[in-house]
Amino acid sequence: MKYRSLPAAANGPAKDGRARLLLGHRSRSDLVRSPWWSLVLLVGFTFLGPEFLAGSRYFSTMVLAGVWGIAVVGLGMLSGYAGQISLGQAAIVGVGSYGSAIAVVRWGLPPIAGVGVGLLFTLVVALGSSPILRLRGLYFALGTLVLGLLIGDLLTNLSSWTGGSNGFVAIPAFSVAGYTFNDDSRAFVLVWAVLTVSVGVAANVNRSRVGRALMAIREDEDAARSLGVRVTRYKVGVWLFAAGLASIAGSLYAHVLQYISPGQFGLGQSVVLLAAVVLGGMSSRLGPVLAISFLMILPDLTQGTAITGTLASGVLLVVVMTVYPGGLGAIWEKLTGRLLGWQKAEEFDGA
Amino acid sequence: MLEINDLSKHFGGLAAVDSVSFEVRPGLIVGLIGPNGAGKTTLVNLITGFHRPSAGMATWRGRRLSGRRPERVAAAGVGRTFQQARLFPELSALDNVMVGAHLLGRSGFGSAALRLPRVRHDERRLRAAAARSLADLHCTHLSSVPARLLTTGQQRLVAIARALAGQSELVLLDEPAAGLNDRETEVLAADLRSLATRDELTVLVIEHHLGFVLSLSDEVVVMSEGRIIATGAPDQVRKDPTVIAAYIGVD
Repeated sequence: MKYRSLPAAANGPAKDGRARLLLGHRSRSDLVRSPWWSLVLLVGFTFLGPEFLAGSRYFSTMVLAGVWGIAVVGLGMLSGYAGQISLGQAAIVGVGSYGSAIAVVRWGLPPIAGVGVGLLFTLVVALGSSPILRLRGLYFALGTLVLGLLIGDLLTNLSSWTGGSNGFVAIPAFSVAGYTFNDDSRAFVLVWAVLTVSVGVAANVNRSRVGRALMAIREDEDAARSLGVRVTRYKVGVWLFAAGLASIAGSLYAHVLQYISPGQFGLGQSVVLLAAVVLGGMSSRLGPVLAISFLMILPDLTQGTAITGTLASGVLLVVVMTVYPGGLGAIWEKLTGRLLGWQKAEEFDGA
Repeated sequence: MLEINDLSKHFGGLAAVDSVSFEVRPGLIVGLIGPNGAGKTTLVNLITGFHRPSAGMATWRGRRLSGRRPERVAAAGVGRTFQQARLFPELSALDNVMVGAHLLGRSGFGSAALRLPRVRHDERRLRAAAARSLADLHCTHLSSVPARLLTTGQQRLVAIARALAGQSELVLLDEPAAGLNDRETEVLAADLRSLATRDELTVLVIEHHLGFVLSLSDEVVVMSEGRIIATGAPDQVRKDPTVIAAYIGVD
């Protein structure tokens, strides 16, 4: 933490205002920033959300936004931190979802065991597909796209297990130890609590030696290797981590929506998840959560107009990537950075 | 001791490095010079695992380096820099050097996720090592600056700090003085000298800049067209007719 208080005046390039602003922006990077503030907000929203949203047409949408948010947190680590752009995250959510459905509906296991079965299926798929991590950049993205299509086909074609293109209907609500999350309020608290924990866990990984290694891999793989970072190992690790969060999201999805079919986990949804990471800011904590909430609500907002949700999110994605590549997270940091930058300047003048 | 035995690398029909053998004793600074295309960088890539040798091998303290993956070579205590600084542009200088101290940490995904005590311990340890390494190269004041905002010269110094932060015992520097001004070059030479003495650091420096290498090195190895054409103390090498011949018409 000490280095943050170094006088900016001693830094050559930090003398002009713009450089100091950037410096402020970076010195409060996720590598040092503690996540407690984000977590307090999320905990607050988890418990107060049902109060605000009761009776609102967006209530069930926000429950689903929380579910997809969990997958977005995982994707943020894989694509935002480690820089491995994936177009297959929704398909992995599908694997977890079907794992739960098969375990609960076909085998009669309790939902919590279904989560375990989903994770097990996901582990097999993620480990089996991990050789695509050897591909770099665009080729990796293409690999994940193909993986997603493949999973979609399997979910449809293994119909004696998965119910084919009809999928599963009448999946029971999530329940644990006799308590059933059978209405929007309960489901909301469950889902957003899991999302909060996911954000906390991801933040912990990101601000450790592991997170720094992931960023190093994103920025220069060979330089990272030369410093002893075991690139393959970390890539597999973050791949499994992202898949694990996707799988948990999938299990919750099955119990929240209570029906699943292959179409819900297609390429379009993978693009939406990636859009949330980009719009929210590649390395921001709350940004992607806000972004996925917005993207989920968008189709409701544009209903009855010629603008479809997909069109609107597509346009938004292109605009943000061209005009403000840092996304929501960077806008926020720039705003607070400006405030803190001024504070800092005063401190130094007074010192 | 760094021992290089008959190391060769062929690209197609071209022998970029052709049966090169020499030794570097611990704590010494050895300069590797030669005209463009002499095979100096290829040699460094062979030693650090970025190229597989066609024949021969390199060992450090009796452990084979050549043919291993770069991350294994780093784990054997061998650091390197590249011809370009290749810092991680979005990370601050301190975070860059903390990646350099990566091998001093132990925590993985699981312990990081739960932020176990060992993670905090690792962070303190890595930060201390990085701060020390930055201080060794007079870069402490750059700690919080994002790497992409540093000048070329500053980037080079931070890259050297990064290569040393993992407590490397041997470091291979590929043109460390390129982009530095005369004053910075002098300071760097003095810093490398004192690190070699204080930490028993062994240094292999590739350099175009003859003056820098001859004043810095205990011994000099001269390469031309993939082969070693001379070795010896700087003064000897300076007068060697084959060396002068190799440089004439090229420099």
